[in-house]
Amino acid sequence: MSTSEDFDEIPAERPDKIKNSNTIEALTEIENTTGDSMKGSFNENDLRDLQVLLDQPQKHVTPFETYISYQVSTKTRRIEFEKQNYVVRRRYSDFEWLKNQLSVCYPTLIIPPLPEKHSLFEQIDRYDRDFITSRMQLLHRFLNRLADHPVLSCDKKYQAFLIDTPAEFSTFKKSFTGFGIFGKVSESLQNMASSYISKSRTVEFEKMSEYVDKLSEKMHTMEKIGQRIQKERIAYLQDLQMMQPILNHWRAYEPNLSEGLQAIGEAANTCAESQRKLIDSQKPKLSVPLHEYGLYIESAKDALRNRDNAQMDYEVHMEQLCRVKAEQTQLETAPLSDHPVMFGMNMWKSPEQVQQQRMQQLEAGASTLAQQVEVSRDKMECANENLRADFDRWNQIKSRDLKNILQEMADLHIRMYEQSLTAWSAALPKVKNESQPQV
Amino acid sequence: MQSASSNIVANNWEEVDSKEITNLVSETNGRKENALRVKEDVLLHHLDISIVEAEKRINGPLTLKEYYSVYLIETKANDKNWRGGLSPTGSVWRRYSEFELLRFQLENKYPEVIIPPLPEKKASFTRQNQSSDNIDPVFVDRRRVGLENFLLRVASHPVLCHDQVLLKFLQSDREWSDLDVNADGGKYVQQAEFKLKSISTALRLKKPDENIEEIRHYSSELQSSLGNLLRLRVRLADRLFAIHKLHANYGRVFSEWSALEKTMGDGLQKAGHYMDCYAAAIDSHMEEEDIVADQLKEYLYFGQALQGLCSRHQMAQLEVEKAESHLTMQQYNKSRAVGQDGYLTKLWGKWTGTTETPDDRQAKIETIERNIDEAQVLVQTASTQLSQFSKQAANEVDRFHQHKNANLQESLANYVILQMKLSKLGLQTWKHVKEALDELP
Repeated sequence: MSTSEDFDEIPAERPDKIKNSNTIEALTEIENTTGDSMKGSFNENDLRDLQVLLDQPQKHVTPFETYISYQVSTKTRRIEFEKQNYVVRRRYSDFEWLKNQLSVCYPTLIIPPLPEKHSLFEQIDRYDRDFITSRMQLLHRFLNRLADHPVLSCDKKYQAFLIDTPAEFSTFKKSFTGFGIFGKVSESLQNMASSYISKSRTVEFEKMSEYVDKLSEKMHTMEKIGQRIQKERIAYLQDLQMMQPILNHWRAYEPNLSEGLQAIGEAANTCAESQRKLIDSQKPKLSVPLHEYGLYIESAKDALRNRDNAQMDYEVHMEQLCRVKAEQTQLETAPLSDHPVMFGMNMWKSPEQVQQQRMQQLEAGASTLAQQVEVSRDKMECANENLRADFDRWNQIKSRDLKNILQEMADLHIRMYEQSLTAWSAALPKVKNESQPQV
Repeated sequence: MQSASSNIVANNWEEVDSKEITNLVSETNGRKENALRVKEDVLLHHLDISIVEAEKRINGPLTLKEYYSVYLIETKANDKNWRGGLSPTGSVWRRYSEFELLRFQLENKYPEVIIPPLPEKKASFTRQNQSSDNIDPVFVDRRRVGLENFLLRVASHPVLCHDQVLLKFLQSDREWSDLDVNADGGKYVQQAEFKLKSISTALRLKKPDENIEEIRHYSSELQSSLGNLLRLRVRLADRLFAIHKLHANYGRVFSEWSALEKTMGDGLQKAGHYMDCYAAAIDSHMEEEDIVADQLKEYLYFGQALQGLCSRHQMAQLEVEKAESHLTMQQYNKSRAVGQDGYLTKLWGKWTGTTETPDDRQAKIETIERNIDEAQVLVQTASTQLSQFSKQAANEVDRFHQHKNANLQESLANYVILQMKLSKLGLQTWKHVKEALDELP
């Protein structure tokens, strides 16, 4: 049952409302790409305090570009929101912006995946109905995963995304431009080889990383297997559809076998139908979710990598501090003349003065480094904690989701086989001509 | 309501399942039952015939080995008082070419009979996973079954079963054939000649028999339909085979994946196991389906035999027409000879110097009249032969339709049962997978 009567904002978009939002775009017309406006509705039994619904795609045509926007409806009981219901329109690039922002601000949290911009393999029309539906479902999942996340759902940007009017939103976005993606990587790391990381990881994170790598492999393999089976199944379907015509042709010459042949032809057709249903649901129910999970796992890999970077940062600073400390101790214990720094430029100063200077330098360096070490250690500890917690959470979600995907796959096959079995069982008595006396 | 109807169906196919599958497996028994339903007193009522095994033999010098298969025919009289056989038991080894020779002789001796077909010489309509090699043990065994069917059908035919050559073939270790077994040349040349003649015969007939034309048309439709069906079945079988085997990959992935997981491990492992079973099960399904395909193939070749019968009928009809035209010619000669008193004839005779005396002419007319009598007798004989042929052929065709309907019905039913079995297997597999997944936390 739709809860549209709860909405304060009117779902029916009026052209002038959108026109005012973007001064650059002069909207010429809005078309509904789909016959039915693809309306979804909130689940009544959903008890979450933040629910998001994505539906009603619309095509916008302007002199500069054509794009699709989706309606984002929010229903919430949270106190940080002023109202209980919001309705806005967002386009894909808005989603991208949000995801990038979240990835930068929370490097060690696992950010849900977005559907890809363009699938390079398949020649998809951007306005193809199935493509839009599929993308819409994935975007819906994206927003809801964020809504379920204890940390991310409280993020200001996410909330702005959900509630800002288009005008507010574009000004909001502009305040964040220039925030480079490279902000999270400190300069000293850019020269480091990645092999440095794997040696120093703790067992805990090593295991996580290994697990994520292998799982991603398995997902990828499963996707490929699914595609190969699909190919064979499509060819099988085409052949199966030939059975009835052949049998019909033969029937004309066999009065005694005619009924049986007809029954077999019909059974073959019914099976072909159920194969077709299975084939059609393969993509939305199996390969798209698996692919999405592949992306989600990549997101997990990113978070792990960022944590590794934080650790590396800390270790580099530690190492630098240790070097300074080592030089300090060396200066204190070793004779003056052996110190390499004594050579060279400071010939007019006495060795003791040089040593003094050096000690002061090292002391100053040591204290700044010590501070840096503290900061990066904090960062690392934070990252570890964040990641640990989020990984646990993600693990559970992933297990549940994958279980659902596989169960759905099993259900689809069960349905297909039930239909097949019924079809052939129905044909059998007719083939055996049970009503007629045996010859 | 969906579940209610499927429950009813489920009960039905479960009953059917256990009963029919065992029948399918022992298909030769089915054939024997069919054969024994014959009303007339036939050989098979008294003599049990079976081909129990096959062996590989080598022909030629060791450097140029040529393998061929031989089949052991065992016969046993099941009636102590019957004296029809050469001996109460028999055990002979025969190879395929000997069967061919037997069939060839039967065709020549009994032209008005539809001689049952032999299994094919070379494997045809093969699936990708089937070997088309004549030495392959699976092929040899299927051929063994086909040859046994051939013997059973011949031995239950009211006319063919009494043939002495047949009996010698079944029981005599020494020479059994009038023709030289190894003289392949003569047999094939004769067959080729027959084929050429039959092509031209149809065109030479002045008034083709409608019934025969209908039968010929039917037999060509039968062959074409069965051919199409067999070809389609091979394509479907190859696809289905590929689909099932690909699921073994799922099995492997699930099993590898289960090693990674703690909580999901067991469920995934089980699911993987079921995928492996699913992949493995297709092999036995295909073997059983191949048996049904063989049964259809037999009728494909029966179609050829039916066409042979039509050709032979047409040749007999041609004989009649030839005799009739010969008679007409003689009658025309007579009318010419009788009416040769004309002026022009006499003039012609004077000029060429071949004047006939009245005596000569009388003699000539008498010869022609004798010829006419002979020709009339010929026409009579040929016509009688033709009508006997027609009658016998009509019986044969009736008989053919009867056993064709019964046998094909059985084969088609078996095909449907096999599809049901496969669907049931698929259903069980995925239900088990679902159960295993449901157990996951």
